[in-house]
Amino acid sequence: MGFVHLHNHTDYSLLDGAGSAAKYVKKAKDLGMTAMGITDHGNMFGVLEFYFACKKEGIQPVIGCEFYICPEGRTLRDEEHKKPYHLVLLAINNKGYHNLMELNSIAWIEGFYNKPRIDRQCLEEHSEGLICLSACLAGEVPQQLLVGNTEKAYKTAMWYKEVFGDRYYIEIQNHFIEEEITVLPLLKKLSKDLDIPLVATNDIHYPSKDDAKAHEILLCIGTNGKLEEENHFRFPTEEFYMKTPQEMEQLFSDVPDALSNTEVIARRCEFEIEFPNGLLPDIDVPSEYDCAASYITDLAKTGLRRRYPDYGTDEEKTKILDERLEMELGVIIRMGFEGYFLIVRDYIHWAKTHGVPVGPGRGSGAGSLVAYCIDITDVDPIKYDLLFERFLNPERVSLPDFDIDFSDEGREEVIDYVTRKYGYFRVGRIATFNTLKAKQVVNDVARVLGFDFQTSRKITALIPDTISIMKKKELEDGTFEEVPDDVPVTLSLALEKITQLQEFRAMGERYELLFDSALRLEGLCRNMGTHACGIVIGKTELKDYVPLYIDRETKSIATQYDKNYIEQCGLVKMDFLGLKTLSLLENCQNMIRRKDPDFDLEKIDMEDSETLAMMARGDSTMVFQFESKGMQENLRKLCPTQFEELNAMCSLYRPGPMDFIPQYIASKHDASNIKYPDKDLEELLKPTYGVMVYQEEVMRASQIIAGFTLGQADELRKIMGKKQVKKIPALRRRFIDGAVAMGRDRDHAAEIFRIMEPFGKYGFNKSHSVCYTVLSFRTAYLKCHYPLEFYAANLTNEIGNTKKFREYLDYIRSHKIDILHPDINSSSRYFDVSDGKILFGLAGISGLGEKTAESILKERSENGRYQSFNDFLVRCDDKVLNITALTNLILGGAFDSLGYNRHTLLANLGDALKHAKSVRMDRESSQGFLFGGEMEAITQYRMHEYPEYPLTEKLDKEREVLGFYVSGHPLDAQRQDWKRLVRLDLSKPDRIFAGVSYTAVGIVKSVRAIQTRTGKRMGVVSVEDYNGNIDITLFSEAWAKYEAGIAPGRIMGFRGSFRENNGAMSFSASTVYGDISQMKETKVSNMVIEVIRDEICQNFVRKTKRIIVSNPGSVSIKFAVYGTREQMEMEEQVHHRPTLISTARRFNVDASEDLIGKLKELDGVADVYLE
Amino acid sequence: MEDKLEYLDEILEEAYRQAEFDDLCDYFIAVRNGQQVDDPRPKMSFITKELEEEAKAYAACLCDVMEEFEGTLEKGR
Repeated sequence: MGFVHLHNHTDYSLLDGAGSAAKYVKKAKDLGMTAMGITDHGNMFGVLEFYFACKKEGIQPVIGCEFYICPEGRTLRDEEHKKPYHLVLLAINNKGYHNLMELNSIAWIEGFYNKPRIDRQCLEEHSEGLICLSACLAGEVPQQLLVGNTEKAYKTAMWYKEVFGDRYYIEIQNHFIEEEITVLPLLKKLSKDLDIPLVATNDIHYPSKDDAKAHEILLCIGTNGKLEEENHFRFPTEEFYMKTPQEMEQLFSDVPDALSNTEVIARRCEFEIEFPNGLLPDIDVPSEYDCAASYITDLAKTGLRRRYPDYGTDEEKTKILDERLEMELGVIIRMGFEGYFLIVRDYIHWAKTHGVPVGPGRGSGAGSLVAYCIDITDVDPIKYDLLFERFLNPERVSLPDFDIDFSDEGREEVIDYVTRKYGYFRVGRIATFNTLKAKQVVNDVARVLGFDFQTSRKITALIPDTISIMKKKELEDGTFEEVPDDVPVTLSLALEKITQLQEFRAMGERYELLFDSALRLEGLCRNMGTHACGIVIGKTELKDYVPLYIDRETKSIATQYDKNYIEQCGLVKMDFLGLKTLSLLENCQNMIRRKDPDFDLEKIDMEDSETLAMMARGDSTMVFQFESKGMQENLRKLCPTQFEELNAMCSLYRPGPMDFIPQYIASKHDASNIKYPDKDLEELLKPTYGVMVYQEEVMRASQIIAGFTLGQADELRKIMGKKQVKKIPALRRRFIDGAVAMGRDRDHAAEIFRIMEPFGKYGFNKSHSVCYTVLSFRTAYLKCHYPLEFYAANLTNEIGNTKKFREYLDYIRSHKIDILHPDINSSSRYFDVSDGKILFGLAGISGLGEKTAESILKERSENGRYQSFNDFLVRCDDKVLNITALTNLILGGAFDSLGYNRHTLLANLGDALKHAKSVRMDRESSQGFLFGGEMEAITQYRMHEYPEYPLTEKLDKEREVLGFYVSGHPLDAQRQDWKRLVRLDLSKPDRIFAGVSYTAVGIVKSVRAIQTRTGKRMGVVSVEDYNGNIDITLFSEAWAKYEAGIAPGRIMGFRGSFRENNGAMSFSASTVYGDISQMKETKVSNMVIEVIRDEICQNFVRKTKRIIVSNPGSVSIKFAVYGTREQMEMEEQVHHRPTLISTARRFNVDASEDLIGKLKELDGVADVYLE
Repeated sequence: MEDKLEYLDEILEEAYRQAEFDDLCDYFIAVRNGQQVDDPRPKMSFITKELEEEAKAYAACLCDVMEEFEGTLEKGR
């Protein structure tokens, strides 16, 4: 007798189902089953994955879901209705599939209470096309029978029979659970009494019986339990696996119909899901146009004239533009994508007209002239030679994809607009699912099994991200060779390759269970989230296409299917990305416009020589995409003199193409280094000095050499870029044949292909790169010409990022620019510029917030400057301004300019507030007749004056509310001494060496006495200087000597050395100084030359030696050798410390500034410093 | 917390890789100095071909500096 499993929980029954769709389907096939069902708990997340897995294996999918039902009403949210019943629904046709989705969406959107729930009412309305099974033990009927309420159970069953007719079945299961065995005969009797057919199922939660333990562990992962805990959540037996038909026959031999009905049901559920594919929403076409095509054509042609003022006058250019526009419009309209372009244009237009900054473009979309003319993008594709075919391949119909950047602050506003325009139920986010990857699964299982943290760390640390395996690669002559290839790691691969892991596995039963379970659970879904930037828009309501849920974070609707399936289901995905740089540019431009109203960032000279010169100096801190030290170094070497070179550098500076940077730089400076693969490629590659930087160049090269169409060239780009190794040999043959047909020698053609391959692999999308370099250049231009506004905007942008904020602050101060504390009469909401200085913004003060800042600014702009502290208190709404906000305004220095010190203001605050309140009340009761002089008299409050806080206390309080020292630093009075004495840079832990003597000078922040196990007393002193903090240990001897003199707030000096302990460096002081002016300078004993191995010039050692021996002296030389710049920049990772080499005494030098300068100029020398 | 754990994972993994890299450098330095030492590569798990090449070049650089400046390696790399 045949049997089909109809009740099956995949891993989309999150952290409950322990088998993937693929695994179940394969097993069903192995067991000779012809069909298989999916019934995840309350969701349809995995339905399409399961559907296609079945199709692949030639098995018939039975699409369903085990719903939660609260019969009385899905909106009832009280204790009584907290535990819903289960109910299984299976689709028999497309109508049923749609009802399944609709019910699921209703459950999540309307019925969510602990679980997504439906009720009888909606079930009745959407029962068409569905088969209903009474579900497991948790079903309504079995539960009522179990509690002895037979009458109710019969009534319930009758209700379902009335609604579903012959599509209702009583489900029977037997997992040897006591209650099941009790209820089984009752269900059989009910079935007979009411003439409702039976169907036998097994409540599958894992593929095989031996997966039961792994499943128990999975439940523990989901419930944060441990296996050793007595009451951890588990299933009562180990019978929840995919049983063979024979096993099911044994269980239900007395009711053969219940078994055969599984096949009957499966046959009834046989249908093909109808996929509509991407359906675009209808577009609002103005009445003067007969269709979207004529509308976009007109918009594009009008835009063309606007974008190109010389259109019509420059004949040649006009011809090029006309031809390109015609070609693009032809492709767009032929493919039916005009609606897509118009939808994107609509929301970009809205954003631009509602003050939301929009990026100039992103991704390949910038290659479209039509997009440029209808204002979707702002980068001229003709000027930058960008290809339309990189965006839309005329030879392959697939929906285009415009990714749009909006300012991070405005992104949600645009999504809100789209939601309003198309309707709440037509716009949604997209689900994503995270899986248990190799490290994560070992980590999770280890926790459940009670492994200690360190052991599980040790094991997971052995699992790499990728692993090298040998793969067969076809050679040009058709033979194969084995080549290593890095592939993402799986646990089984790691176990195969890494002997230490095998050793762990062999350490006993517990370890075996760890690895065995982890292997079984690897790859299963762990949790779900929402796609970071994707939005879908439906032609009608989204529930007509996909099941939905509510994204808890944004409260918006989201699809239950992930991005891989939504297009097929009829929805169009669009990416709305948030980019902070756009907010920065907008903010900066607004500040500039106050003094220069016509300033327009979009009209700046993109070849501005001063900006390029600044970049050539490597002065690119805060410049978008050009910030890193490595990039700055390359800029210095390249000396860019045009935008195009910055664009190339931006594309090359990434792993892989980085290897071509030296060639690019050398070729720029000396044309004899340029090598073109073929003379016909000279014109194409001239702008990039012979290096194929962009994918577009690889595409064009295949056109020129092998006569590929641009569509074929795009295929080539894809195959090379996505490393589709298997397709390369055929591609190579096609390329060589094409080249030969165009009159080239076969070997030469093969050689060109060989040269092109690595470029194709790493080449960057030029359209995207130009868009982003435009943003880079705009930031660079602002830095060069409007540094104050630019720095202020950067500080505002990074106010939430303490590390970067401090870095920027230091940088700005090092450029001798003052940053002032906030001022109640001058500050804006954010950082601003005033009299050549940067002024702290009110919203940046801790505890104030945007709303309060806004209210203060509004009052100021409506009724003028605040004349006094009292005037401020009277005028500002005390509902908005609470005591904390006022205190922080005082301590942040916002009232310093109004005549009283901070201590006085704070001490008088309570009384002054009372007074202000009474003045306000008087004013209100006298209906505002008292103004002018009389009012002034009343608002006067006599302050009781106090001396200002001591400087350190004042600065500390200021730092507390502003996040950092603004008015000064506690060390300022002794800055000269600090500079004289300290060579220890606390912001650069990689430059600290164990065993070397150092001096630290700073303000003592805290002191902690410690008693060791042996009863000795020691102390830890936390000290802060301009660069950072350090904990200094004083061992018993030093502690006994200096303890009495060390106190928080004092500026003190500490001499000692670092020692390394388990990879971390700790500083212990042997001498402490209370008066640092008395401290003598530490003798400079070493000059450290930091060298980056892979950047050193030819004959580096000899060149260095020549410089060193010509400057003899008493300071010894040490080399600190790093492998790569990347290693050097990983400052916080101690294991990236360089190798140190001490040199012989005869190489000691006179450590002059001049010598340091000369050494720093050598290629490969990252830094030279004294210690 | 998960992010932190992942970060720790990465650090530890990098530490293992670095330790193997250092051992390999020491081996190449010893070979260049004509010492008889066991080749550690068969026991290594994290060293790819690329890293091996890098270690070779790195060791050569250290040897060049030491030879030219009569230098010695300091402990605590």
